Formats: sequence, structure tokens, C-alpha cells
Amino acid sequence: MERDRRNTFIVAGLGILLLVIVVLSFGLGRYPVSAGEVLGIALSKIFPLEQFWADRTETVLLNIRFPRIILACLVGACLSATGAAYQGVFQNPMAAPDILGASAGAAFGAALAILNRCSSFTITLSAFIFSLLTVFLVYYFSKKIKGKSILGLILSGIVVGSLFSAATSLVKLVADPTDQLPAIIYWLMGSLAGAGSREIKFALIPMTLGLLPLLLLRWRMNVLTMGDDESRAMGINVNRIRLTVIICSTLTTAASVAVSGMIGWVGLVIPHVARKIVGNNYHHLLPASVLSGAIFMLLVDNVSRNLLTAEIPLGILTAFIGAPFFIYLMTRRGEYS
Amino acid sequence: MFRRKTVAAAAVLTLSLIVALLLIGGCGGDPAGDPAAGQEKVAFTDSVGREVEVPAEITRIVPSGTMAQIVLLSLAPDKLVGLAERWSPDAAEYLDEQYYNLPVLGQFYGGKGDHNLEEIARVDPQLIIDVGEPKPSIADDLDGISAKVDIPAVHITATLETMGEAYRILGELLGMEEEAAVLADYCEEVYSRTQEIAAAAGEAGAAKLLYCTGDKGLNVIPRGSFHAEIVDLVSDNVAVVEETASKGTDNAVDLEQILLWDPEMIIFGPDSIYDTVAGDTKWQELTAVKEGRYYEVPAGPYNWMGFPPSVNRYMGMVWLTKLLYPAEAAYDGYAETARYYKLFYHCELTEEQYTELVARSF
Amino acid sequence: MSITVNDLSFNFGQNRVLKEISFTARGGELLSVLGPNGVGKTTLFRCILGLLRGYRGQICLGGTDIKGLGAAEMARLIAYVPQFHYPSFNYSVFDMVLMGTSVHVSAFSRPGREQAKLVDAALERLGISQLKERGFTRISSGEQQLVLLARALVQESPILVMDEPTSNLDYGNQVRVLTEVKSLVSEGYTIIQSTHSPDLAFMFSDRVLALKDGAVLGCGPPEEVFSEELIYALYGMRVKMESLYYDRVRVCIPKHIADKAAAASLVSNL
Repeated sequence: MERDRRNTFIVAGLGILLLVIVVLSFGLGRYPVSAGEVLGIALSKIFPLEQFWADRTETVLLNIRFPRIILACLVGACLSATGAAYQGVFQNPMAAPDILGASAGAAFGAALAILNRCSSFTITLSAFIFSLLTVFLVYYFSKKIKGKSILGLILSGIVVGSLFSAATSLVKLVADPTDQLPAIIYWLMGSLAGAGSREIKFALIPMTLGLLPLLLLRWRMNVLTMGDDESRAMGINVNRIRLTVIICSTLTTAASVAVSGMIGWVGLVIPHVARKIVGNNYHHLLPASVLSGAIFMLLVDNVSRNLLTAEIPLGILTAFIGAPFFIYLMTRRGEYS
Repeated sequence: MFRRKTVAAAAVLTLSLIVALLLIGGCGGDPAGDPAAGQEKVAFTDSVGREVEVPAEITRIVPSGTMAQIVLLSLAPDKLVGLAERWSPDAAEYLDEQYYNLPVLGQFYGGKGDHNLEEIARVDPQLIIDVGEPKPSIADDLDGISAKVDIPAVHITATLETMGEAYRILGELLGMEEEAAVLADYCEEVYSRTQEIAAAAGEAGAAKLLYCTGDKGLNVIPRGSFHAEIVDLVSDNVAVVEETASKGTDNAVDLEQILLWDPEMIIFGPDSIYDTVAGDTKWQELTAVKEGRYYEVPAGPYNWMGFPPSVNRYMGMVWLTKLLYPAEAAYDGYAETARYYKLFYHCELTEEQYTELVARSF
Repeated sequence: MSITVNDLSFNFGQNRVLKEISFTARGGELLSVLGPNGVGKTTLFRCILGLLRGYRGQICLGGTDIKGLGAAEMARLIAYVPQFHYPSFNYSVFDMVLMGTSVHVSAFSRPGREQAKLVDAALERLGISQLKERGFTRISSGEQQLVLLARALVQESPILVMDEPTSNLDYGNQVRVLTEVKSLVSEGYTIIQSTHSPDLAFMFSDRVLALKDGAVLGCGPPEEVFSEELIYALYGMRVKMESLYYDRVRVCIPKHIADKAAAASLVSNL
């Protein structure tokens, strides 16, 4: 059917766009690298080639740019997918990946690790673990709240999330203002500056484990937006699907925040952008969100590392770009196809 | 149909591109040997035991953070090709333009961690130097950075006591043993002189001092804190708190607590309440304020007492001993300060500049 | 497929909503539930649909007690047409109806061509094919009701539960929907609906269940159950019940209007 085919083309187009931007991003950076050198280095991995570039250039490309580009795509993809998924299972267009406190927990974990002067990988690990722990607590307490399960989850998320935020403030209070405090604050603003192959290897597993089921379950997410009663009457095990989505989303969010810090707006805005392009049907919406998120995050990271000498934190950029864009989106008359 | 074909073609093209990229990603290891004629390399063991290969002749270095920046500026300013942190505007008064305008690379220690790896690669230093107290994870972190930009990185441990030793090691590393010796001797001289003066004053004569910072003056540097090293060395730091929360924080207290301590003398950090405390009735209760025995820590370009806790603190030692024990510290303030500024900032300090620096400090 | 309810009771906290309700709806029957607002019709339906599990008593669908059944098994037996749907997101009519086929599709896949054909057939049958690509939130509430009915149809369950399906419809659509429902019933569907219109209930239903204060006031074929006393008991309204067309149709007229009309005609005959 027409709309279906059109949407499939759009998703394919997004995929191609992403690849193009990835390739172009390799050429962007403060360290001067020519397009020929990029191509040369790329091809030299397949065919034997006479090396006509400096060693340093190859190092920059492979050790600095490559991890950042890949991670930017992964983080953007995960945050958008999670945002879209949560909007569905919570039947709320304003839902975002940190609705259950995953970000607040990760922030606390990272702050704690920075306070204890841990290595950068330990900081990432700590953020990841505390993120999982927080959502677990949120889910556990939500079960004790009587009434509609969605409301329970959201309330629990607000409470536990703010608890961890307060704890993070406490950590900031006792941190050394010369080095620890700025380090914590900077981490909280979001950055992929420290990205390396270690971070990629670490994040890849939870991200894949989380994204795959979300993509497989995307038709059922449509049904969940109809409300618990109607979904159940249509034969969907609502609680099981919701729990699965939460677990998967937590894995992806925890991994993303652990490697990149707190980046907001992506999980909220990008799914809505995708909705404007391909509609609300998750069959196309979820892949579109994944690809759009990757594109967006990649573009933002390019700006972050290239605009000024010092890195601009990602969280700041996503807010400055995301918020006005969101307003623009919402004020335009969105006609459903 | 036509659209299908275009999409298919585009897909094949990009697919081959993906494959290419994936293959790059698979091997992120060491690039194939040095194409350029090799510079002679020597082995160097840094202060945490890492064995690093560094060029025999080093002419291009960058600091890892602010602490290293100050130290390297003093020893080898002409070898610096980048800064960790932009100098503050008042540093322009003391620093030579060429050092002032070096490119800023960001810091990976002692601060935000906002270093731009590509920028570092672009200015092409031969060595990254970190100076200070070692973090537990430092070996890991330095190895990581080295691997990313393919530039060796070393750590030189330096505390207030061992600064001299640190300079000597740096001198050896950079081939500047003579200049390093001068700086090392200065550090050791000032440090031992400070210790002597403190010893001469003795326990009984040790001034009861309080070091206040913050915009309300209520953030005190407690005894045992990293930042109170000098204060603890030369005086009786009245700010005794049970939990020195983490090495080196200031502790926020209330005025009641300060009244309880009732120090003989108070030194305020710059940007604190030195100007307004006279008119503030709450502070009038303190002996030190009543008798006018409160002073401001001089600063320019760096706070003499620390923040960051690097060699700038030697200036603090010189000043504080003179302030507290003028009899024993019988040297000429201006002469000593000018000597420091010449050695460490390569700056000819005029009497006017000196007077301005210490206007509120004696 | 029949619905058998035995001694069904349900409490919301201290509030006894349903009190030992028993009735049967046989396969190929339309059962209409009548009763004042808030009497518990929706609660009854939610129990039958398996959405409320904390009831006492027994509910059997086609002889199987629903207590042991999971959501998917229930959905294959019984489908739900809600009264209102408040959408958080706007879907096309086609997609909305397609969702009804989810129970026949595995969890990790999406409905395919087979299911699309079912959707087209259902839309065709209810006369709303032209709405296929329209957004659900943009069509009239009557049309929305028909879409929800189509969604239940594609679920291919032998039993349908409809919560006040005609409340939002204009008269023409009301009759059309009920005619359609009747035709479904003649194909073997078992349909249980709630309604506020005694006249239409009488015209179309095979059985009627009257509820008052959570208990059964009457159950059986409409000719037997309907009476002026029943209407008064249910709604507190005195009516004159007229039988037409060999008792195929009964009309309820509020008594005060009937009396006035009778008096007026008496006068005019003089």
C-alpha cells in the first residue's frame, strides 16, 4: 500500500543519509586530514597500499575520530529508540528515556566514581551499574503502589530519580572544587571526548541486547498505545511487554549515559521528528527514530568537536538545538497523512 | 520500478562503503612503523614506574593540566607548544606575549577534562607532561591518552617538599639540567627556610590563623586539607574539623563556629570579603577583625596560596612567613617576590607591581 | 459459543458492585444489558473480558472457565468494542483495525497481507472503506465507533462485548449498526451489548438482562422480561408500553405524555 511503501523508502533513505554523514564526518576535525588521505587509509585496510600519509594522521582517524563517530551514532540511536518506545508503552507523547530515573542513577554513579578518583573506565562502569540499579528500584517500588501500573511507574520514577539527583548534589558538595567538582559537572554536561575502542566494546553488548528486542516488538508497541484494557482484550500480555521494553530500554539508556554523560532532548525530540516523517506506526517509526537519532547525534558531536578549540558539551548542544526545533515542530500544523 | 533500481544502486555503493569502514574499525591498532627518519629515542621511567620511550632531544612539550602548565612555564617556556588552560586576563601583565597566546588544548587532569585530542595532535608535541600528585588511575589514564594520539606521556610526582627533586628530573628529561638546578635550589631553599622560621616560632609562638574563602567568607580551609599545607606548616590552623571531607575541600561553616575558634589572624582568599568585612557588624565580634589583623592573599597571575596547588605556593610561603613572623623572616619582601617572578614567570617585577600585589596583604 | 455467568460478585473495596449475577447467552444470540447509569454494566463486561480478575463466581465461555486463560487465549474467544477510545497517538483507520489482528500474529512479527485482507473486508462490511487512510482522531465519533467495531471483527473471536456501541451515533447509524450486529449474530456470533434504549433493545435483542443495584432484575427474551413495571424499576420513569406489529415492536412512551395525548384525543372526539 502506498503509504507503507513510501515510508519504507524514507527509512531506507535515512539509512543512506546516515552512511553519507558518517563518511563525511571522518573528514571533519581540527587535525588537518584531506579527503584523499581518508580514502587512502580506508582502502588500505582492504588492499595493500603505498602509505602516503603520516602515521599520526592514521592514528587520529582510527583512534580519535572513528570511536567518536561510532559512539555518537550508537548513543543517538539508542536514546531515540528508547524515547519512542517509552512514548508508546506509557501512552504519553512527553515520555523520554530518563522517565524511570536511568539518567539520574547514572549521574550519581559517575559522580561517586569521580569523587573516589577512579579511572575513566571505572567511572563508565559505575554509571552503568547505578543506572541499572536505579531502574530496578523504581520498578520494585512501583509494584507496591496500588492502582494503574503506568502511574505507579511514573511516580516511582520521579521519586527515586529525585533521590538520586539529591545524592549527586551531595557528592558535588563534598567534592574538591579544584579538580573533582569541575570534572563531575563536565561529565554531567555530556561528552564523547574520551571515547575509545574500550568504550565501544563495553557499550556494544548492552546496546545490541536492548535494541534488538525493541525492534522486534515494535508492532506490539502500537497496540499498547491503545490503553491497557483494550490491549489486553486484543490478546497482548501488557505487563510482560511493558517489562520487556523497560528492561531493554534501561540497558540501552544505561550504556548510552555511561559512555557519553547526560544528554537530554534526543530521546524526546527525535521520535517526534520521526513521527512527522513516517507517522505513528512503530513499524516504520522505530527504525526511523533509530536512524534519525544516529544522524542527529553525529551532527551534534561534529559541531561539539569542531566549532571551537575547547569541546562543547553535548548536553548543551542538544538542548540548544533540540528545544527550539521542538517548538517549531509543535507549532507547525502536523497533518496526519 | 525506476525508483527501486536507484535505491538498489545506492544501496550497493553504500554497502561497499560500510564494508570498508567496518574493516577499518576492525583494526585500530598500531600504524605501520615510522616513515620519517626516526628521531633518537631514549627510555625514561616516570615517577609511577612507567617505562616510556621519549625523544632524546625534546623541543616540543604540552602540559596535561594547570599544575603542569605553571611548572613547565617556569622551566622551559620556549618548549611549550600548547596550554592546558587559558591564562587569566591579569596574567597578561606578567607573562610574555608569546607564552600568553599559545593555543589552548584543554586539560585532562585537575579540571574539566575538556582536552581536545585532535588539537593536541595538531600542535604535534613530542611529549605530554603531567606534574603533581598521582591519582590511583594515572598509569591507566596516561597510557590511554598516549595510545589515542600516539604521543608519549609521563608523570612527574611533585609535592611541596619534593618540588626540587621534580625539577631536577624534569631538567634531565628536557636536557635543561642547569636551569632546573636553579629552580630546584630555590624551592628547597624556600621550603627549608620556611620550616626553620616555623620551628623558631615554636608551638607557643605559632600564630592562630584562619584561612577563609568564598563569597561570604564562610568557606574555611581546615587543618589537614590539601589546600592548607602551607597554613598548617607555618601556623596553628584553628579550623579543626572532624571530617575533612575528601582531600582538599573547603568546609562551609557558619559565623558562630568562626567566633568559637576566634583566631588571632585571618587571611581571606581573593574575591572573598576582605573589602566588606570591616563594615560588617557580624564579623566585628572577632578579635582579628577588631584589631585589624586580617589580610588578603595576593594573587597574580595565580593565588599565592594555591588553587591550583602548584609552585605558586612557594610565593605563599614567602609571604605568609613574613606576615606572621616579621622578626624571623627578615628578608625584603620586594626582593624575594621579584626573584620568584623572574625565575618562574620570566618577568621583571617592578616595585609598583609589587606594591599593588601586596596592597591588602600586610 | 455461549457465555455462562454463575453467581458473579465483585466488590470495589467496601462497595458491592455486582451481587450474584447469573445468566446465559447462547451462541448466535444478541444479549442486551439494560440498567441505569452506574449500575455496574462496565464492571460486568470487564469481568467477562478477563480484565478484572478479582471476582467471585464463575464465568465460562463455551464451557471453559476463564480463570485459567491467558490474554491471548481470551482474545481468541472474546473481543471488546469499547465505548470511547482516547488516543494518545493518531493512527490511520487501517492501522487501528489492523491492530485487532495482533492475537493471530506472533509477538515479533507484524500483520501481513492475510490480515490486511481481513481489515479490508471488515471495513467494506461496515461501509467505511473510504475512511481507510483517514486519521482516527479526525473522523466523527460515530465513524470511530464503527472503526472500533471493525477492529473487534478482525480479531475473529466468536464472542463480542460492546459497551454502549450506539450511544454516540445518530439515529440512522444506530439502526445501521444494530442491523449489522443482528446480521453478525445470525452468522453465529454471540454478542453482548449494553444499551440505554429500551425500544431498540426490544427490537433487536434475542435476550435481555436487566440490572438494578448490582443484581439481576430480569433475564430472558424481551417479550417476557419487558413490562411497564420493569422500566419503572430500572429508570424510575412511569411509561405506557405499546405493542406494535404483532408484538415485534414495543414502544415506551412516558406516562405523562401518553395521558395528555389520550386526554386530548378524547376531547377532539367529542
